Amino acid sequence: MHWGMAMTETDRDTEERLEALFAQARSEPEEPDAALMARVLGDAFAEQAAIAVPDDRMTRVRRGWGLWAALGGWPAMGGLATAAVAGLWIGFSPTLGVGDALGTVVGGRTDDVISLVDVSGGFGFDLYEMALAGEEDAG
Amino acid sequence: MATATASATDRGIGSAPGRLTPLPGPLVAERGSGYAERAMSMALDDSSDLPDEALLTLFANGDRQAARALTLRFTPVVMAHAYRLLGDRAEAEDVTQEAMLRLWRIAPDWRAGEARVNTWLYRVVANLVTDRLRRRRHVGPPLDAVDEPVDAAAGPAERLQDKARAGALQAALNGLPERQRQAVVLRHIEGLANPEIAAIMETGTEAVESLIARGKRALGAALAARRDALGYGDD
Repeated sequence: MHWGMAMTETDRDTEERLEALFAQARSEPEEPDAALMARVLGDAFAEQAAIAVPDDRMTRVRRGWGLWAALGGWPAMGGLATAAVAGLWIGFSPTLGVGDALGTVVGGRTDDVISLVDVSGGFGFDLYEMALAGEEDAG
Repeated sequence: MATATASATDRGIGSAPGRLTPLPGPLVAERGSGYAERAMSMALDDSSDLPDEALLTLFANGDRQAARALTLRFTPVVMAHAYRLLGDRAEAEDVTQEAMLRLWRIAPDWRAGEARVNTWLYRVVANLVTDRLRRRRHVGPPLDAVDEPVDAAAGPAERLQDKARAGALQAALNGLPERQRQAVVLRHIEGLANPEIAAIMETGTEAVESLIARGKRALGAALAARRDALGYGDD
C-alpha cells in the first residue's frame, strides 16, 4: 500500500504508521546518562542543605510535628480547649439557674470570667448573654 | 502557577493525614526505561516505593534517600520529554537539570493534592523549552537540525531502519509548530489524556484536540515525503 491512495485509506495508513512510530518512541525514551543524574542529585543535596535549619532546636521542632500531627494538630487542640471551657461553664451554670449573680460565686466581677473564656467564639457569646441575664437578676 | 505559591502554613499540620494516602506507583516503572530496573537493583531503602508527595515531604525534611528516589523517578521522565520537545540532547539535559532544580526548590512548599508531580514537571519543562526555542529563533540553528542517530556497530538492516524511523519522527516533530508538537508528544508519547494535556498547556480540551489533529496531519505529510527512505515505499 502507498500513501497516495484513496483519502480514507491514506488516512488510515498514516494513522497506523504514526502509531507505530509513537510506540517505538515510547519504548525507546531518551535516557539521562550517569553524569546528568549526578548533576541533578548534586543540586538536590545542595538544595536540601539550603533548606535545612542549622539550629538543632528547629530540627527537633520539625520532628515534633509528626507527634503533634498524630495527636490531631490544632483542630484537636481547639476541641480540647472548647471542652475545658465547657467544663468551666457547666461548673458555673447552676448558679445562674437559681438567679444568683455569677460574680458572687467566683468571688469577683462577672467581666473577669467573660474575658477569661471569650476566646472561644460562639460559646463565649452565649456565656456573655447568660452572664448579662445573671447581672439583671442580681440588679 | 498556583502550586508554586503555597506557603508553609498552607501545607501544614491540617493536611498531614492526606499525605499518607497511597498514590500510583513510581512513574519510571511505566516507561519501560532501564532506570526502573537499575533503581530496583540499587538497593534503595523503602523510600523508592513511597508516593511522590510523601517523598517530597521527606526531601524537604532533609532525607537524602528521598532525594535519590525522586532523582531516579523523575529525571528520566523529564529528560525523555525535554528531548522530544527540543530534539537536542545537550539542551534537553540542561532543561532537565533546571526543571529538577525547580522541583527541589518547590518541595518545602508543595501543596498536597493540588497537582500531580509529573504534571507539574511537564508544565515546567514546557515553559523552559519555550524560552529555549525563543532564544533559538534569534540566534540558534534551525529546528530541523536534528542529529540522525548513527550506529557505528552497523547492526542488522532492520535495526538501522528502526533508527532511521526514530530519527525521522524526531525530525518531523521538530518541524511542527511548538504547541502542536507539545500536544502530540504529551498525547501519543507520554500517553496523557486530553484534559490533563489541557491543564499542562493551560488551554481547553477542544484546543488540545485541534492541536493534536493538525500536528498529526503535518507529521503524516512530513513522513510521507520520506517514505522510501523509511522502508514504507514498497509495501
